Amino acid sequence: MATLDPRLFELFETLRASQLDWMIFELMEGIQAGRHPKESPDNLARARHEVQSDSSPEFVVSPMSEAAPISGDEQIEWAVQYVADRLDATLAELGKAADNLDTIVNGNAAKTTIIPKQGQQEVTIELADGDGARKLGRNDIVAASVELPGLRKELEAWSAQVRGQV
Amino acid sequence: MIPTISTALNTILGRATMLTHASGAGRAFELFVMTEVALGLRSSGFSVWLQRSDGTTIRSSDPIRRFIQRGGAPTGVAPASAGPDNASVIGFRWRTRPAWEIWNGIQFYGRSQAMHEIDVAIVPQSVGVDLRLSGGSPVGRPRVAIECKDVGRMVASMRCAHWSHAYTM
Repeated sequence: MATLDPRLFELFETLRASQLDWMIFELMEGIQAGRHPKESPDNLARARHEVQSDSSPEFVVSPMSEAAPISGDEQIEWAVQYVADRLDATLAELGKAADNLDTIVNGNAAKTTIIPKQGQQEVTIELADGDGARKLGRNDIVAASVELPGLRKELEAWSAQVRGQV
Repeated sequence: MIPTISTALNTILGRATMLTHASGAGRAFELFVMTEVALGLRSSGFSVWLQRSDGTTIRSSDPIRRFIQRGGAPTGVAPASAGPDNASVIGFRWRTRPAWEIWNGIQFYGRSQAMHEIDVAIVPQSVGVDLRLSGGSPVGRPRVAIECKDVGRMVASMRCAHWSHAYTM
């Protein structure tokens, strides 16, 4: 199990301040797990075909290879990419879900590239908890996604700095 | 603390506040999965609709159209009398056949009496109608259960949903 590089703590502190504690846990787990080999393209294609053809999938379990440890500078590079990619993927899922909800209610295929006027047509997504509801519309998802390249740039700048590349 | 990253993060999270919730990213993936299932049904000719926690349908002409997911500790189905502000569901049916409901994050009593939260569950609408009379957790298994794993030991490479069928409900 890899030892966390102490330079990451500054990033963890920043995530904590933005209430992204869950992301810190994922980063720690991911770094300590190391890099596992991915399924081969052939295996993935076969699995997709079996699922789509509604046949009973036969999963081929390949012998588990040793995970490659992530250490030193690689931890920094891995972490900054993970933060940006995770937010990117989650916003993409929310965008697709919002489109799907609009299609179900309005009966037409919505497009995330078209931003409706706030409050018209769109279905708002809410996460309700004891501390109140967090609301999200398609405008919010688009606006948040637009800011992702800026975040990625700042993460890469910090990564280069702590690795002594600048 | 890294001020430049903090500013960039807060700009994003200022619009997508649900990501600051401990369950936010997981719930986003679950919503993606359940709406993709619903859209697949719709594309196959099923009638599909969104439904508030009081059992009423969300229509395009309604002034307020909210799809509510529940954060916090797992729980059962809220009674309809508690109003429309609890977890929404997706309903569907084939022509005049009995309707079904797609639930998110509902706790079931297993046959061992232990409770299990199922990320996405499909149950007959009659089960939902019955439970909404006074609230509570369903007993047994849903017809379809999907466990959504958006992270895991392989973290970035593992985003999948496991499903199983059951015939006890």
